[in-house]
Amino acid sequence: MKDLSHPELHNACQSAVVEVLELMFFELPIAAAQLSSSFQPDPIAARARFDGSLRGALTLAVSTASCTRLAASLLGIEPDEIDDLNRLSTVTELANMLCGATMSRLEPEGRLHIEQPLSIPAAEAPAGPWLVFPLEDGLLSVFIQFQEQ
Amino acid sequence: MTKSVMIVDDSPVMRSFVKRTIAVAGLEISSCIEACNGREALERLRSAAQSGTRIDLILTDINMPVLDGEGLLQELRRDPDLGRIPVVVVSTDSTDQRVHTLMRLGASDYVRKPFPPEKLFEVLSGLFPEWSGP
Repeated sequence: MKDLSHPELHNACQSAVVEVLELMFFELPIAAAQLSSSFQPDPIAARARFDGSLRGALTLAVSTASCTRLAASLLGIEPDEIDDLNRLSTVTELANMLCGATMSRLEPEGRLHIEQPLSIPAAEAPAGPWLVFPLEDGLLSVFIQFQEQ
Repeated sequence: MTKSVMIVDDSPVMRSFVKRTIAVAGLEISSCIEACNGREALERLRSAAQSGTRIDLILTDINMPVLDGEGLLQELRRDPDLGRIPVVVVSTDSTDQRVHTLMRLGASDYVRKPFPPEKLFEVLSGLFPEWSGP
């Protein structure tokens, strides 16, 4: 099994996060991403499983405050108008886009099927390594593990 | 000239994002029907056709429950009343193999998520050169 300690996956994930945040949410991480064995407290989390040429899962955890702001940016409304459904929908869609953008960098010619991302309780999130991106008001953490088919 | 649009995506935030992106691009929408999967889209399209409401464009995701985007395309292209509506696929699944399959099934174009607003504008203005803002 490969995880984010693998340099190629690390780089692919880093590029994917920057691309997705910039194009869809009009923001960038405020500092370099770091590998960590844990993720932030108070996250909203989602998991996207994938199979095809590669088989595995991406788990995403985003601080509630960051998630609120990202949802507001995506929807073009004020943060105080964002509700729990908006936050969950934003995190699952973000997991979906990060999964596609990361894995297609690793296997541009491969087959990839991403299952419907599901929100998960933070307690079900796996142990690291996580790639943690500092945002303006919180953290965005990604965990990926996969094997070649 | 305005267009009536259907947006098919199981993610409510993505449906809102796509709708807003079209509006921000200055493309005026006369009506927008939303559906959260291919089956619901077909039901709404058939209902609209029966009541004489014309849909000019469908934007659809691929990975959805019940009936996915590929299934929706296949059903649409078999339907004599709905088969000519242009379908633009907006999805994270952008492998060469998938894009080739979708184009063979009759997709009009493909936009890979994530995308800048200009990309969607470019695709839609290519399909509808007469479509512009108010």
